[in-house]
Amino acid sequence: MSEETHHPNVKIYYYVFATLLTLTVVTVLASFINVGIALGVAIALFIAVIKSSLVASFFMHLISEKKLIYYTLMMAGAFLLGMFVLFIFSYYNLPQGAEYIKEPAQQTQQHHEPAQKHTGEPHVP
Amino acid sequence: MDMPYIVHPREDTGLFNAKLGIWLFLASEVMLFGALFSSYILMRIGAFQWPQGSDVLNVPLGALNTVILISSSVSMVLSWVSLKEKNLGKFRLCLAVTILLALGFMVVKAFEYSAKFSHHIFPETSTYFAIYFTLTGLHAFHVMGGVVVNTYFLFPGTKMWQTDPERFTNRIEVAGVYWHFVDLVWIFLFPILYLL
Repeated sequence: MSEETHHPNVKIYYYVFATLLTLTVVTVLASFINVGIALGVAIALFIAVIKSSLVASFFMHLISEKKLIYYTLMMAGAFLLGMFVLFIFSYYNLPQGAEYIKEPAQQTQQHHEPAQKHTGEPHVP
Repeated sequence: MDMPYIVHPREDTGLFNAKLGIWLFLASEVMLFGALFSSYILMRIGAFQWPQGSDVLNVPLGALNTVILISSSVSMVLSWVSLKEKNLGKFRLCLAVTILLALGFMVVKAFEYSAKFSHHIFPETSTYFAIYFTLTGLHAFHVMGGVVVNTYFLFPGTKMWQTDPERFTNRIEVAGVYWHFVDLVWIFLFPILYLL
């Protein structure tokens, strides 16, 4: 077992707690700043990564864990990355001649159907 | 013959069985939630229209649930620290607080869901709400799983403290690792669903 496991340092948990609460407030406040969707996503994910790293490192004791755990997580991370890449690639894998709808269809509004029902569906002309 | 490495770590890996087991389980959980996060990205980039989370969901309630889960993570880790300090009373208090906070999270979630249903908003309403209900619903199942496990350790499971305190402490550490993972998933769900 790790050194940390034998002598848990309670103070560090309170520091992490305070940091997590502060970062939660920062996440909410940052979302009100109009910086565009791309930068907004980047800022929110950056803060989320910091918060999750704090939880994993200190609450889950990953900062002082054994190598086998790191290898297990690295393997999971590699598969996760591969899956993300495959999913993103599938965005471009449409039937020949098909394209994503960029504008709401005219007749959708005439029939008073909620436009969101059709989001993300490829359209074959 | 007793099963080896259920209390003391194996020499070559430095891990006891349950520790390796929970991390293997969490590796599979990473893939489960990862698949849904990937689906979220794919659907979002393929959509011509995607609502701003703060326009369709209650941000204060989402933020409240974030604070609740973070607090429950702290009480969970403190319950394990209490066992390390051989203080069973404090352990019971901390674990009970963790369970109550988890139930508080579920109550807030129930309010959010019922508000959506009363406005006739369901998973079929839009791609956004389909992934919202799927991700938060699956996460809520994980919260309930944690409540069941922690409640077991708070009541009948505590008997092991009298016979095998070290093994019981290991069990709480492992249950804690799972609980912190549930918190970790929410840390990503909150901004992508409620804020962006």
